[in-house]
Amino acid sequence: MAAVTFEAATRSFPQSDRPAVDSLDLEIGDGEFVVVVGPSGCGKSTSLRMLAGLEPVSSGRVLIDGVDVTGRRARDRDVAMVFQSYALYPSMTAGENMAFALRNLGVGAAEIRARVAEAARILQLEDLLDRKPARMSGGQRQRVAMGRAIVRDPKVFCMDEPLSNLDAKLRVSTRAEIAALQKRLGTTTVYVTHDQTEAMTMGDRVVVLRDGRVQQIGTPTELYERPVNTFVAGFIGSPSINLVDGVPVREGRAVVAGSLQVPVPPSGAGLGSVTVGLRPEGVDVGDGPTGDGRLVARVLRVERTGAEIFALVQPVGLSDGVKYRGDHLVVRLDKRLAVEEGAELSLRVHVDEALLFDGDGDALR
Amino acid sequence: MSAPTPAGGTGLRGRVGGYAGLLLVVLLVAIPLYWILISSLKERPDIYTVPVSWFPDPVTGANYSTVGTGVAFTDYLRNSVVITATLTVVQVALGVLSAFALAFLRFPGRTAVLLFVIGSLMVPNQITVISNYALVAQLGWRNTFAGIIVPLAGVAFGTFLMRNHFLSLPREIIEAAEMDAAGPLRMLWRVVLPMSWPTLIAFTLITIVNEWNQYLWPLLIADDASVAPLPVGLAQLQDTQGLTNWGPVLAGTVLTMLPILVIFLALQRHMIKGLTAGAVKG
Ligand SMILES: Nc1ncnc2c1ncn2[C@@H]1O[C@H](COP(=O)(O)OP(=O)(O)OP(=O)(O)O)[C@@H](O)[C@H]1O
Ligand SMILES: [Mg+2]
Repeated sequence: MAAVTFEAATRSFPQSDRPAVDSLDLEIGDGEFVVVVGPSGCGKSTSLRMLAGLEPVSSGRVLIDGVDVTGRRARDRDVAMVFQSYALYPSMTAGENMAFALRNLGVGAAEIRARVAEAARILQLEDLLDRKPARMSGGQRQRVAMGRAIVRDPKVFCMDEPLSNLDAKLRVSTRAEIAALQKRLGTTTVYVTHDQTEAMTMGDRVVVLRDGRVQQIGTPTELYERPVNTFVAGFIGSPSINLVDGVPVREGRAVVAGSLQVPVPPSGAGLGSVTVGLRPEGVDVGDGPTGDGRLVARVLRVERTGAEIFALVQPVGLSDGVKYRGDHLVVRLDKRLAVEEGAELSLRVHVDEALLFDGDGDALR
Repeated sequence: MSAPTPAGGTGLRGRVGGYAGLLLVVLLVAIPLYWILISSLKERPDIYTVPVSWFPDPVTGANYSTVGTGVAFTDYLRNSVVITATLTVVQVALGVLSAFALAFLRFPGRTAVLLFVIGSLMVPNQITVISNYALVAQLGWRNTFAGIIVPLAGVAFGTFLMRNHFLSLPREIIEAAEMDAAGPLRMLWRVVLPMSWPTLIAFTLITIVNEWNQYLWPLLIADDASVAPLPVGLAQLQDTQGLTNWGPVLAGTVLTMLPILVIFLALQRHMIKGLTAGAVKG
C-alpha cells in the first residue's frame, strides 16, 4: 500500500512534436482507486506505463510512497500490472502464471501455494488452476490476470483497460467485482479506461486526460456536476450533455430563448455570449411550478432503452445566433410518457442545473 | 485460411493448374532422390543401362557393403556426428542468447552490434577461407576437431532469425515478465522460449542440415578419417578406384541422408503454430 505522486511527469516520443503525456501532476492517496479516462490516444496508457516503469519519463518525477522511482526498473518498483491483453504466459497453467512472480522473488514454496490458493479463492479460480490460458474463456483469463497481480500484494495496482475484451454484460459484473476487491484489499490502484461509465462507477477520483494534458481531477460527482470545461462536460455523462453555443447575454442572463434564461455568474460578467450546457435529464415535460425555464421542441426521433426514453429533439424559438452542437438536443423522458415522433413537447428546464462556459469552453462559476 | 482467389471457389481449370504445378515441383524434388535410392540398390552395369530402368532388378545390397569396406564409414559417421552435434549446440545456444540480448536487453551500441551481425551475413564464406586457414594452421589445429569446428561456429543467420522472431512476440507478455521480476535467463527460459519452439526448431534443423553437409572447410582442414566428416569421406569413395563407381557413392549418399531424414521427421511435428494461443486478447 502506498501513495503515488506524479510531478510534472512528461513523456515525449522522438518522432512526435507534442508530448504523449504533458507534465502530469497527480497525487494519489494510500488505498485510493483513481481512474484515468479520456479518448483514444490521449496518453492514458503512457501515464500508467510511466508509473509501472515500462515507459521512461522524459522529464518530471514519479514517486511511490515519497520515494523517487523515476529511474528504477519495473521489477524494483513493487507495482503489479493488469494488461489490456492480459498478457498471460501461454505455456504456464493459471496457477503457474500466478506463482511466477513469487518464484522469481524467492518466496518459499509453501507460502506461494498459500497465496495462490487465496487469490484463486477470492477470484473463484480454484477449478482452473491447472488449466492453460488457451483453454479458458475471456472472463477466466481476465481473472487469472487479476490473480497474477494480487498474489504479489504489491504497493500499487496498474490496470490498463482490463475489461475491454469482455462482453458488455460480463464487463458490468466484473466492474463491480474489481471495485469491491480493491476496497477489500485496500491497495492503491490506478485504472485506465476510455469508458466514462467505468470511470464514474469505479473511481474514488477520476482524472480526465485530453491530448496528454490533465483536464480535471475530481470525484465522479464533481466531474459530472461541475466540469471545468466543455470537453469534460461532453466526455462525462451518457448520452452526452447538450451544448448550445453563441447564447447572447443580456442583463446578466444568458438568453437561450425568450422563455429560457440562465443567470450568468459574476465571473462571466462582460461576456457578450456564452455556451450553455444542458444535461439530457435536466428537463421535465409539461407544465409545472414557475421559475423554471421553458422550451418548446419538436421530436425528431425516440430511442427507448426500456428503463427510459431518450428523445432527439429540435428546439424552436431560440434567440438569434444560438446554435446547438450536433443536429439535435437529447432529452431524457419518463418511460411512461407517450411521445410520438413529430410531436411538439413543452419542456421545463431545471435552470439551476444548467452549466455555463465562456468562449474558450472554460466553465463559469 | 485465405486463398488469393475471390470468394465463391476457383474454377476447375485453376484448381487443376494448381495441382499440376504442385505435382511438377514434387517431381522435381523427388525424382533425383528416387534415382539415388534405386541406383544405390542396382548392380553396377544396371546403373548405366539405356533406356533407364526405374526399378532395380535385381535388388542388391552390394553397394552398401562396399561403402562399409571401401572407406572408414563408421569413422566418418562418428566425425560427422561429433562435428554436427557440437556446432548445432554451440550455434543454437549462441544464436538464441545473442538474439535475446539484441531483442530485449537495452545496452549501448545495440544497433551497431546488430548491423555488424547483418553485415557479416553478407560476406561469403569463400572469402574468409584463406585467412581462416592460415590462422588455424598457425594455431596447429590442422586435422583436429577444433580446427574444423571453431571457425564454423559463427552464427549471424541464427541471431538474425531468432531476433526477428523474438521481436514478433507480444510485447506485453515480455513486459509482464519484466514486472514479475523475471531475470534475463528466467525470462528466456520460462517465457520467451516456450513461445518460440517452432522457430527454434526450424533454426536447429537448418543448422543441423547445414553442418552435416559441410564440405569445403573440413576438406581443407582434415587429412584423414580421424576427423573428416561423411561428405569428405564420400568424396574419397568416389575416386578410390580411379574412375567413379557410382553404386557405392550413391549408397553412401543414402546412408548420409538417412540420419538427417530421421531427425527431420522427428522434429517437424513440433513445428506447429499457435504457441501463443490464449496469451493475449480475449
Ligand atoms: N511507442 C510509441 N512511439 C511513438 N508514439 C507513441 C508510442 N506509444 C504511444 N504513442 C503516442 O502517444 C500518444 C498516447 O498514447 P497512449 O497509448 O498513451 O494512448 P491511450 O490514451 O492509452 O489510447 P488508447 O485508449 O487508444 O489505448 C498517442 O498519440 C500515441 O500515438
Ligand atoms: Mg491505451
